[in-house]
Amino acid sequence: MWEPQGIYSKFLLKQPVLLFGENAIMGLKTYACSRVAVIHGSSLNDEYKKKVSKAVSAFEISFIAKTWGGEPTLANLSATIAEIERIKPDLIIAIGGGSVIDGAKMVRTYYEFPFFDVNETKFSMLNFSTTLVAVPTTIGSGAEISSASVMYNDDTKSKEFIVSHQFIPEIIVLEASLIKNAPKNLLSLSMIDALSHCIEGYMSNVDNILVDSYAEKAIQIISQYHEVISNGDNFDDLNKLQLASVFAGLVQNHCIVGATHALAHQISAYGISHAAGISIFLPSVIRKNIKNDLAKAKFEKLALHSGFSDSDSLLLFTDNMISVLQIEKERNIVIENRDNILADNSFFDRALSDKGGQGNIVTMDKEFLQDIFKSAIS
Amino acid sequence: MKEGYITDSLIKTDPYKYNASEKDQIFSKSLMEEIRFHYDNNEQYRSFCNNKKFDPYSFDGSLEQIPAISVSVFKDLGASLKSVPDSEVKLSLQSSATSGVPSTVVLDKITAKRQAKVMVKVVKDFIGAERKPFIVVDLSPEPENIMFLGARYAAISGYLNFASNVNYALKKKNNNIVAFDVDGVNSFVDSLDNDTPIVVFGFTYMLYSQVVKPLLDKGINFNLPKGSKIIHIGGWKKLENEKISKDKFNNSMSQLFAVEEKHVIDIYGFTEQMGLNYPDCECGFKHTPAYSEVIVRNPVTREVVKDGEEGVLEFLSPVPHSYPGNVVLTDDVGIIDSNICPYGRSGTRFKILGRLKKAEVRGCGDILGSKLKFTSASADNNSSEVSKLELHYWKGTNLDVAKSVKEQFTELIDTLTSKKEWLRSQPIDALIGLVGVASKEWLKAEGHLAPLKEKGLSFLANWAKPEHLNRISTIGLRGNRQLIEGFLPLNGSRKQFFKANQRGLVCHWLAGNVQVLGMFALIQAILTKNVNLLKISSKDDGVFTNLLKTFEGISYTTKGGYTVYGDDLLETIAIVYFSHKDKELGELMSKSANVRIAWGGREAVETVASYPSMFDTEDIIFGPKISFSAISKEVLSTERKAKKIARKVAVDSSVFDQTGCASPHNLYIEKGGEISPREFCKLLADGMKKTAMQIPKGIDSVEQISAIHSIRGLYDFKGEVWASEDATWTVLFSEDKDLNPPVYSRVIMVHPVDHIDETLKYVDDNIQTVGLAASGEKALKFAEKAACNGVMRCPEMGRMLNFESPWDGIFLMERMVRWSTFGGPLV
Repeated sequence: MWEPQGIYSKFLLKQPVLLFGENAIMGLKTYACSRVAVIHGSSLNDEYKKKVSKAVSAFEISFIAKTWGGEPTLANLSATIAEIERIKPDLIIAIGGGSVIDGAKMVRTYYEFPFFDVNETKFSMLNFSTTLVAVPTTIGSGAEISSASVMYNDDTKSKEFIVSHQFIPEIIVLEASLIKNAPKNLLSLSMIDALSHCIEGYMSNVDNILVDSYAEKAIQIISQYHEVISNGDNFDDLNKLQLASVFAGLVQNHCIVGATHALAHQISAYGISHAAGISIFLPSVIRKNIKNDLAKAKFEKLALHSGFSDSDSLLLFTDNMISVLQIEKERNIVIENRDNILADNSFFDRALSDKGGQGNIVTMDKEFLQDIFKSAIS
Repeated sequence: MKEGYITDSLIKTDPYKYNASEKDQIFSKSLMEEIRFHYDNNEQYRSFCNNKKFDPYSFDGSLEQIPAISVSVFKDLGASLKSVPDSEVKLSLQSSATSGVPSTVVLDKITAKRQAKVMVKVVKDFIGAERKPFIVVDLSPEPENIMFLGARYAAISGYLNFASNVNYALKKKNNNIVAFDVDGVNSFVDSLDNDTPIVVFGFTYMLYSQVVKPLLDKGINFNLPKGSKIIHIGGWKKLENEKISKDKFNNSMSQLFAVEEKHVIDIYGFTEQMGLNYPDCECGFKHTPAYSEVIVRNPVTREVVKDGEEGVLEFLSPVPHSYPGNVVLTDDVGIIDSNICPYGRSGTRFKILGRLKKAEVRGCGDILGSKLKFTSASADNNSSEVSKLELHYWKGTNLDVAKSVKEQFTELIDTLTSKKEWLRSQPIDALIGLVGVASKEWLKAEGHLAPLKEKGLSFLANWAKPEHLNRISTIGLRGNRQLIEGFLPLNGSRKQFFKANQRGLVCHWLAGNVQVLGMFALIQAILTKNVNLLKISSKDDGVFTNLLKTFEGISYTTKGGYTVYGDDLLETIAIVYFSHKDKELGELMSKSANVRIAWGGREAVETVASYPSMFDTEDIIFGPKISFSAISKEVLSTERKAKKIARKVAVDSSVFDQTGCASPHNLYIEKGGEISPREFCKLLADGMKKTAMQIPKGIDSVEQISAIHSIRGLYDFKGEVWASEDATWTVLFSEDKDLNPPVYSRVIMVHPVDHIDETLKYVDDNIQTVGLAASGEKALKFAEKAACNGVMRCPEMGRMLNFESPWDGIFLMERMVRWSTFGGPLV
């Protein structure tokens, strides 16, 4: 199937089937399959395994605990691939966070295309016959709807984004019960990541009117229901936040994000999580960008369409959400390294060339990013 | 009618009593006078001379520099090759066409007269001036026998000028069978004076079939008067399969009629220079009379060879006046002997050694007249011979050589079959990976693979890349190659499942033309987990063995750590050769096959058709087919676009040296585009030249080169020729629109058409591929109509030979598996 590749804004990619609400996993019952493999993270309990077993109508179901920690590498994926080759599943369910889902994308790729080589194989030939189901146990990363898989390259000692629209899972299952026990601060941080996908995607130089509506809806949901994370365990509302996260992921997958992500990717080298980095830089990036008239108009429009009275209200909402996060430790790390980072040209050079930040609505230069950096920790 | 041509003086001279230098003068003059006559009066000949840059008015070179016309030109254009007005044409002469299309020449009064005159002069020199009794070994020329006599009638009539009285020795019996009338001949001989020599006359093959064969074994003979002679004409073409030499024939005839062996005279001649006869001289050679000359040329280079060296014979004579047959290059092979004739005959001494073989059909163009029915009775079942079982490649356990050939073959098949279990357990993706490793070696084409470069090895290497095999097997197995691994939902059902299963033993009958195509089938048989027995062609020349050797010592490990070894895979494949006439081995192979595959050649197809098989054996026949290309004017809107397309046509016409079923031989181009069909030929010629550097050409046989020279010669008459100095590539252009038979070896025939739809009349189920350069609705409509007519593929130009799935109308892999279901049914 032909799908638009590259920076072409007027399309909406293949969308996965979304199963959400209580017992959403039971929706898999309607999918014909023969052999199922479930790749899961360490936290999956027996009770949920039983639920999954009941949910699929297969002859065999096998559970495989992921064999990698952090970002997957080809070496640490191989034991899982071996199991998959033995089982020969026609349906793979990945239950876990972004790392599990990204790893499962690559497991499926190497299972169906053993000869796959990131540098040599044409990605257009990745036409999967196995169905991949993503069941995220966190919110915010957007891995479940992303065309990218983040792999760690042992040879170059660096993270690699492997991107193919074929990687997008065919089915996403959003069950609030799976995130109810996640640490509240982690969930709140993830929501900021989702919020940043919406704001940076909406204000991206890749313009897509259809995707814009997903960003508007996601911000509306986040603003309305974000407190459920700290206030209680209303599964319905948590499920809405999961949906907002998927919408935000969809926005990021279509519209390249901007300076916030460019800086957050670089700061991760100091041991700061992606979501924490986003939380540190997002308000400063917005403020810097909206000095530009076009950016200001767009931000204003986003605010109005997502239920805010004006852009200041949306900015204030963002500030408030971030203010309650426990990120003092991370902020202090940045402050401690402030002078080194500002003196280190390569930090900003890398940020400027970061593929994940190329969508910033205002053209970036080193000075632009340095201003944001200084402002973020002032 | 002009009188007083130099030739008319020349033919008055004695045939063999001239001085060489005298002949040189008058012969050249008369020849050039005739050639100039044709140049002035025959547009086609003038066009030929212009194409050859030959101006008979300014020419002052030697005889061998005069461009010769191939005999093939007279087959194709003979009837229209006239240098005189229609009103002066008295007769059209046709050759007997003992093999293939007859040659035609048109005669006017001048030519006919000259022919008769030179014939009489030559023959008289051998049998004497006085008329003699003739025994003509043929039917009498009565109206009811004319059909049987055919073209022989005219020749017999010519020789009757030497006869005093005639006995026709063949008689038709009641059942219409023709036989030698022994009693009649005896009566005729008895009725004659014992001192009058008799002449026995006939066509060589008639004498052989009606006299030598039936009478010799019966001990019948005739006692002809002393000095009698036997003269026979017509040549040896029809006797090629009879394994009889000229010496043996002469000896037999000599015994039968009690005639001295030196008086059994074979007379050589050919239609294109009718009247000029070359009888055997007692010295053992033939002589050119004063009216003709012979030159021997190298069949490949067309250069004149030294005396005593073999080559094709070119005859020069001023006799033909109504058609330009004065310098004719024949298909006959001979030598010139420079010694002087002890019997006093002057004239160049030469000998006919045989005939240049027709270029063997190496490709798929040998279209079957009718589709074969696959029954055991369809082919030649009567002949069988016992042959050796040659094991060309086999890595399994050694066969017990003490056993009979049949037992050894059975053992081989049993051993192969026992490997089915192992192959079944190999993941298809691991097998794809292993072939992928081999494909990298094929791409390098080093060591034992180097000679295969010219046989499409890089083509195979690219085809066998894992990415492509993955796609082919996914398409071939109903959209999911994992179906070969286990049951999967049927059409999305949760109630019913299906899977593909190996069929077992796949037996391949391989053709010698495009060997790598056989590899395509073998690889797909491996991926569907079938064990394979390959019977190679006698012309295989180690190609398959070398390709399989690549698997030795290689392995492939999946990302999950599963390893498959090439050496293990090789135990599931055997390459054998035995004669196609060995019915026992052929039947054994056929009966053991779960899938029978025959590629390309007529022989392979007929062989498969003739053998019995299990009732559920799957037959996959990639029978003989041909292909052509068509270009719409819209795509020739700029020179740049035309150049690109020309390059693509050049690739299609060069891959496998045109031996593939999908190779184009004819190219149809719409008129009216920015680039005319003729202009396109120039671009195509440039493309062919460049492609020849990228895709090296294989070695052509002498016969193939000769065929290329012949077709070029023909197009020098009927159109235009762009060609390499050697026989590497040839672009031919003419206004005709016929779908011409393939010549092979990078010869592409270009025809202009008003609309590409005109070519649809050539499309039937013998056409495999139409390479199409057209766009939009026009292209779609053409493809739809062509598909209705029977074509299998209408691919883009430049990709005609890219083996794809489906091929020849079938998804190959789907035919190599059995389908099973589990659960259901749904209704």
